[in-house]
Amino acid sequence: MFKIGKIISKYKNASLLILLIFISLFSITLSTGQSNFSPKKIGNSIFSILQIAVNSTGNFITGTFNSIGELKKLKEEQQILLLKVQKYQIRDRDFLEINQENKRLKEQLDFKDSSDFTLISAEIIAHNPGNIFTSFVIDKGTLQGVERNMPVLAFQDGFQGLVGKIMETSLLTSKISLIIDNTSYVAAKLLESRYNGLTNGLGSINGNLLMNYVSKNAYNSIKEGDLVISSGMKSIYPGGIYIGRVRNIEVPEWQTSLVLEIEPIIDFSKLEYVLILSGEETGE
Amino acid sequence: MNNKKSFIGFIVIVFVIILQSTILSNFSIKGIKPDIVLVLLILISNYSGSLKGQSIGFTAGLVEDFVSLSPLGFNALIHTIIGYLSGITFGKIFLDPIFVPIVFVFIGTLIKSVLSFFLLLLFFTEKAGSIFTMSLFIEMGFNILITPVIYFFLKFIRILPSSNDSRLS
Repeated sequence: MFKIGKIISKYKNASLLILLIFISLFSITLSTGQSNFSPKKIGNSIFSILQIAVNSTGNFITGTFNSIGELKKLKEEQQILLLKVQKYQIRDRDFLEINQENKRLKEQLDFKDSSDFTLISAEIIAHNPGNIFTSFVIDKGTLQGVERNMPVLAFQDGFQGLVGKIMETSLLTSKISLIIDNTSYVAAKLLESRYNGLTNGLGSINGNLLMNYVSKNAYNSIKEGDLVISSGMKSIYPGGIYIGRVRNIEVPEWQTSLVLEIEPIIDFSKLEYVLILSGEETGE
Repeated sequence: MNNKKSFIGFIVIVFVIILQSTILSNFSIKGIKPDIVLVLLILISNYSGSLKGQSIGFTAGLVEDFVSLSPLGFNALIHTIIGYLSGITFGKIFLDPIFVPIVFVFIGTLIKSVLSFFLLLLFFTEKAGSIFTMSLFIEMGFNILITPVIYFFLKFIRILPSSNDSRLS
């Protein structure tokens, strides 16, 4: 025992290195498990407060400077928007009529209303600081009812696109694992031809997705630009949400299926707000 | 480097981690960000020795793990080893403003990639393939470009000793 103490004090640098490596490895093993209580969760809760503070300060400073220049633009935009509002009011009336008609028809067909979800809107306050893991931190946590595995959507350029799912939660913030992450898989189908497949991210914030397991019979029915939606099959993601557009079709000779390159419908690099779907039981 | 300077160095790293995940998150080329924390750690450890270097690396890595989606311990382990290795050169290799720091950061980025690759292979196999790609070269180039800027910044805030100061303070 005395000898061990002597060795440790002689090689204190190396001893500390081994100890820290051991703690890190032990912690990785704990964190990759599915435990609800982990040291990571406690640390995440503490540092998320710092992230909120820095993000708010940054937004305040940039917002103050930008707002001066934006005042002029706002007046012009207001005129354009007023015209648009008038148009939308007319459309809204039409929409209500169509919606009521749709409801009546659904009741006749005895369909279950598919929109059982409650939407929680959230702002993205931080990104992953490194390049290996792609994630966003949002300003809603367990206090606002956010839970692990809830699907996350966003509206961009008129499309309701799939962003990812809630991976970690703390009291005030949550982390979203994006569909473009290598570890993310989504059951998908082509909107027009209805062929099924599985999308997988490539790990880059500006990168595309791959859609595998699409039958080779589909080759003649698919063209560049076709829309891909979530299929909802045995997935935590509900069906019918836009994922992306086909950008390239590969026909590997050694495989029985096609490989499609999909450009995400959501531009993740300029995403600011997201919607979390809650209120329906999810099961992986 | 005395304990006070090492502690300030650690605080700077923590602050940069928070900045990098919030305000500086759009500072990227094709979605690839520079690893400012790695550059800071290498430069500070070179002036602190391996004991302080690995301690700063471990705690800074833990903070990075808290704010990211990586498992707790992932960045802690990588930064501990890089802090240790950078600290070994304490008192042996002296930093000039440009060339030596750039070589250190080049080697540090490579070591980080190799360690990341093995950790991902163990815990996230599907991610391991994404390490040795074009993104590594972009990150390396980015890190090298920012190294002299960070070197002068650390000198400016007196964490690294200026040429008039004694190196072994």
